[in-house]
Amino acid sequence: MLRIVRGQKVIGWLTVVMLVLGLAGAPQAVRGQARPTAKPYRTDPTLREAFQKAVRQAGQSTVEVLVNGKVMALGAVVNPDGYIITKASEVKGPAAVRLPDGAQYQARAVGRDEAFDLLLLRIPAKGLKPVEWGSGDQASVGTFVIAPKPGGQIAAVGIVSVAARDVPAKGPGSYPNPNVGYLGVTLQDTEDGPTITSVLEGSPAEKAGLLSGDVIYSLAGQRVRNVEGLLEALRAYPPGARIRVVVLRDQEFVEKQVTLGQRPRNFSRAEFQNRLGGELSEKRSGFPRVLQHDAVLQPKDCGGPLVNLDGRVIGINIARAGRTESYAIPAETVQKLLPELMRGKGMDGQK
Amino acid sequence: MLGMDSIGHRVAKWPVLVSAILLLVGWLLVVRASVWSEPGPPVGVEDPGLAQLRLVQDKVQAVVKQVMPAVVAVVVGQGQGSGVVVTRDGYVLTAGHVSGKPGQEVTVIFADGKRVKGKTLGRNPLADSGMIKLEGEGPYPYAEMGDTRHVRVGDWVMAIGHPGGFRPGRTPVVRLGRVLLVDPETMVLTDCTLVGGDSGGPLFDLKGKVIGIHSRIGELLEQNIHVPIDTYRETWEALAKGVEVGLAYLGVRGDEEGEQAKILEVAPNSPAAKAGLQPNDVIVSCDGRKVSDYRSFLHILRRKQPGEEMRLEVLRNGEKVELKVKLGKRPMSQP
Repeated sequence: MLRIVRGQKVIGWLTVVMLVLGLAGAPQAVRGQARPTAKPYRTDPTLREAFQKAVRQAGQSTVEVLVNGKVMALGAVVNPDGYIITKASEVKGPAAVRLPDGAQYQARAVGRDEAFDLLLLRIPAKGLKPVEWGSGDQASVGTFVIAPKPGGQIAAVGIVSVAARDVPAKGPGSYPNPNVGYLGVTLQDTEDGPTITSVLEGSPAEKAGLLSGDVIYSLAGQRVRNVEGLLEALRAYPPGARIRVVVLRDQEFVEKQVTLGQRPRNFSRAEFQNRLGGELSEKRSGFPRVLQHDAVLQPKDCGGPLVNLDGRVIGINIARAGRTESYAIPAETVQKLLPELMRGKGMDGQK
Repeated sequence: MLGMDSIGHRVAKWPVLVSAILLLVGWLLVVRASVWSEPGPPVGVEDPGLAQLRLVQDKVQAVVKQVMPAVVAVVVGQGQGSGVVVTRDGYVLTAGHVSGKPGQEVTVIFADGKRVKGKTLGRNPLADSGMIKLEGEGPYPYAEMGDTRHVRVGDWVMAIGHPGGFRPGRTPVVRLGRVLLVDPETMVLTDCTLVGGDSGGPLFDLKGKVIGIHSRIGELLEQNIHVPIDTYRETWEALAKGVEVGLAYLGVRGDEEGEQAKILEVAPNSPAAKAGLQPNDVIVSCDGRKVSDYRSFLHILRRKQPGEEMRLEVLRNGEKVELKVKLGKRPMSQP
């Protein structure tokens, strides 16, 4: 039994479950009591007031993105003629945009970038106030960052935790989502497609007869071309789902039925700790370039601007990725993508 | 190019002209500043709250640059944690549950990706402190140790570490918060968010001094617990020698709030139970030293070794009772 703290006066005691950090060993749960005697800075009213001043202007360029009347994400005005950037994967269906003044418009999807998970919407409005871009690439570690809500209230505050960096594709940096089906293989992209490099013992893949060296060709009838695509396709199925997997084995198609399983427990500890303190974005990895910060975003706060103390927008929030990490796409990267998105990038085959 | 001398010379020679130029420059600075800094607020009339945040930001950015080279990832077997070098010759502070048993081979990874081998030294499982010595004599980049006595509730602090373990291309991750509570004996509580892999990493004050080592978290985002730095200083010699400290086990729970050292519970079959300690006993002295309250008793107990004997004088139903306790070894499942 570990006493977390003594208290001279017993007021506002909290009973907490304490977990020893670290990747090795089982989590040790220790019960104790704590009586915080200072306010966390993120909720300190005096500081919030100061942060709010920094985003007064950016708040006028921040909008809500709704699907079926429900706010799913924030967005940022990038052009006075009705162009709004937001987080693509949170907008599943016809979107509407609500401006800071409350006016609401049906939006049309104009362009989409899968890797960065950005979606460009357009609404029939003119004279909007676009964001004032700053530099995300030059924002040094320790820079205060604020995520405004429409109108200039604050969704979250924090600092830049890691300067803008390129993230290698498939690089570590993703936390496995336990709510999606689990196959139990390690994969590598080859010229043939996503190739199984090992099959974990006792995994659904082993039970279904998948072998190391198999190239996965399709999943439930959906053609997959690389590891990223395969993981994306897999995400649609919960544990227990039975799906048809076609693999290329010695240049022949082999069909297998796989019953997806639950991710084994050794994965779940990091996952568990990362979920302490809030919900995570469904898509929270695979972005080719990110600015990492420690503002505690809600998944529906993503898609909007990330602002510094000068009121400049240094990035677009793209994911709540863990207990300690949120990601933004740096301003320069977004600006570079905008012309392509305006030309309709990623919209082929859609009406 | 004009040096200071030549400017001084001109000032003496052309006082009127120079004053005029200075005035002009001054006017330009004042009038143009608002134009240059658009769309930010005009220079000189910044909101005091924002100005204060800017001061904090400047310090945080400076400290990060200064201390980052001393922050390491620690790889022990299959496990990964964090640590910080605190001496030129390569002593590394980490969490006890990261370093584990003394004498293990470890690899530390510096922020620039450089890998260095080391060995685990002593630890204190109760305090969750641990130590590592890097091979050779360095010189290694290091950060200075602070002093828990100077840590105040409300101080701005920074947690640095490797959440999720070391990742190539990612520098150690910095998080900001404030000290929410200090108990110099057991913990510093902050709202610097931590997660697995951060364990053993340093908590810095705005002067760049290490004031804590990341240890454990609670359910809420503002429940992040660090081992106070004084623990390391107090037990430095034992830890550096590879000794495990804080293992002495009595098996009681006492009243930490009360004004007396009152025993509330006695664990069955524990050294305390074997010695005949009972709930509601009030400890009045230990090895001849007066005990004022339960916390002062814990202070003595924490510095004992397993196997040591303790003479306790307790008050039971108004009568003094003398007991002799032989301390056991703490079961590792209960830190």
